Amino acid sequence: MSPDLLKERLAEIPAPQAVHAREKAVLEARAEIEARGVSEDPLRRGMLRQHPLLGLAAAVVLVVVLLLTPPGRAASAWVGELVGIGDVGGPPSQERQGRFIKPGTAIVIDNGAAPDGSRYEWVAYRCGENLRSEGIDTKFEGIGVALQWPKVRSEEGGGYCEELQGRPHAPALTSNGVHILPSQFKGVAKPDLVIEGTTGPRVHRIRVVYRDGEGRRRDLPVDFARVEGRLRRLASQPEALGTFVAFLPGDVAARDEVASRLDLRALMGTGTLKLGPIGRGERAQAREGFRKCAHLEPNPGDLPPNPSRSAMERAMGPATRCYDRYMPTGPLEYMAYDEHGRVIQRMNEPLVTAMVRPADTIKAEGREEPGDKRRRLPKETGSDARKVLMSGRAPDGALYEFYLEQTKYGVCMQIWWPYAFGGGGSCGPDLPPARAYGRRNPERVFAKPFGFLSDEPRATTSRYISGFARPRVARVQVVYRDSRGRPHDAPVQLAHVTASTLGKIEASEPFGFWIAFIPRSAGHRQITVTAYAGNGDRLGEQFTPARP
Amino acid sequence: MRPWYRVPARDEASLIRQARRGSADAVEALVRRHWDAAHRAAFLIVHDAGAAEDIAQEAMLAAVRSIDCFDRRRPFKPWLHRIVVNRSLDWLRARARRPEVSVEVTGPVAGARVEAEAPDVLSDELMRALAQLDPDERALVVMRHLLGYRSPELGRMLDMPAATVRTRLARAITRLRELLEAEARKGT
Repeated sequence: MSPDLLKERLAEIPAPQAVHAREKAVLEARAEIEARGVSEDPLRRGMLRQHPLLGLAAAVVLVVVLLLTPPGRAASAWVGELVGIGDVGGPPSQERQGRFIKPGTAIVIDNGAAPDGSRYEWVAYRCGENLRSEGIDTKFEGIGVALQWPKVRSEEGGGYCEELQGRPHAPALTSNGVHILPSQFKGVAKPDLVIEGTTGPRVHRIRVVYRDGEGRRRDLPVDFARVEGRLRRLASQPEALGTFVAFLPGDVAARDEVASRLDLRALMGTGTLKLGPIGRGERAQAREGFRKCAHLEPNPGDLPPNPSRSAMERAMGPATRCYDRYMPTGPLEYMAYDEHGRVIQRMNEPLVTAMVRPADTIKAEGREEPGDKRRRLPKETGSDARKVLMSGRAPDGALYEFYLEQTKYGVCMQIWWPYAFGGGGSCGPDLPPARAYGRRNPERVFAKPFGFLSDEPRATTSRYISGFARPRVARVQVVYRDSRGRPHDAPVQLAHVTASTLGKIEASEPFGFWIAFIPRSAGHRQITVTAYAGNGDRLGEQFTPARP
Repeated sequence: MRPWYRVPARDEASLIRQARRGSADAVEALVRRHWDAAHRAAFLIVHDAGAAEDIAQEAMLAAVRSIDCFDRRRPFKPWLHRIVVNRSLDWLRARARRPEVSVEVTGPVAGARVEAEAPDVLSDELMRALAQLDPDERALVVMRHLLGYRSPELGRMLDMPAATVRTRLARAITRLRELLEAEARKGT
């Protein structure tokens, strides 16, 4: 059958007459548009939500149309049957995959369409973790909310699992950030941007204000939906919440360099960062701001141990006011309003590329001065045991400690600086972690970096890299190259861990742990890690990838 | 049949502009203008008269609700058709998950209020053959050969490369041809 004949035959297939359905659709569509009222500017489609009385009047008209006229009654009955896949209250079009997510619990709490027609669904789901069967005392139940784009194979994705027990009240406003519209991630020169986030129970309206490259402010249309009542219970949410989505047209975003200023590609590892004139200007302004204000930040030694939020805010006050005055402002501002129309929170989307503080404006304070007090390390929730694995000093004298902590999330291994802010690490069910020696032929690996080259400018002027080593490794050599390509040995500390040194903390096997310090001037060039046995035999070699 | 696809673009843009300003008449004109194509496409994909009505109505209402989100630089018709096709596929998947509802693939269309002239044999065979294609293949055939979209347009609408669209279409047409030949053999 030729294409023309096929087309002819398809057109000839007698589709049933659907006159009644068409008239019902006409009636519904008219009621919908009449109930919405007159909009002067398409960008202000959130008008009904912004003017409650107008919204109420429109709702009354809609209710009258839907309930009092016979076709209206038929139409409303029809609408009532529409809770299906992808509809509010129904399952999402695409089941979300994830280790924590409980299958079959996801419910659509809002949906809509982007300017290019691609559909989005806000999905609430239940999540949790139970590792007790694996012998680890980790169990929790939680909830999560995520924005999904059915049928779009997105480069980016997200979601979270928030533990229900001991959960604090949700903040009034949480931005999930700005993203490239998933349907336009590839092959579109000027993709639209999507702005999304969630709100707490007190929020009844959200404004998203866009400031263009010339400083003009304009409200973006916002799809804000409150989840309360039956839908909230259906979605297993302990309190009312809200979701919001707004879109920024691609040509406006490209003109004002929004994607590069917010680093929407390089940050996610899906492109390179190339700043334009606006971004470069903001970065220069931010650098100047840091120079003027950084010295006003409090000295950690002057703060009380484990300072409360209000104590931190008081201590940061002078620096915060200075930053507010001198730092560049982002292009997007969010405002959350309560039911009486009062602003209860406002925030700016951070300018990621400008706000990276130049390391040379930061004073490393990890080396104690006379009179400095050692900070107390706060315990993780549910911590059973803690053991310092290794302690030492960076080349500039900054004191560090690597410690292990048995928590309900598994064993955490972290670094911290007793006289400076900073630190961090990772937690997992296994010690050493299952991928401590890599995925490919781990039996042939003797010492390998675990994680990336880290920078803690508030603690030390050096960068550091750390990793695991087999028990038979007696020495780890770490070699970096300077800007001329000449090799240098980095100072390395290696500690061996056995069951007797771990105490209550469980490990699957004995292991070694090492840390090496690299000068910042070496950049992110390739680093060589070589393991040696006690008799000096070279056991193996590993390389880190070079980064521009 | 009314030439629904020959709507002047300027006229359409004007209707959309008026609809955005709240004109119920403009919305009605848009619904009437696009109803036949949307309903026929839904019917050929889902093969269920009642569902096709619901899907077309739902798609129209969704389009009207999102009319402010609609990018005026882009044509309205593909946007609406994309909604129709997505909803049709959703409906088929939902139906597949509810096995207690049988899928009518060989007999006359269930619940159809066919008031047009009786179907000729070829159309009947084509309908049965279409019903045996996978839903995605069926949607592609309908979008390409009934609605007239070309591969690059289909690629943009379905978020897949044009080459993939062409491959899948070729596979679907080959299968459709085999099914039609089998139908013809049965008939003889």
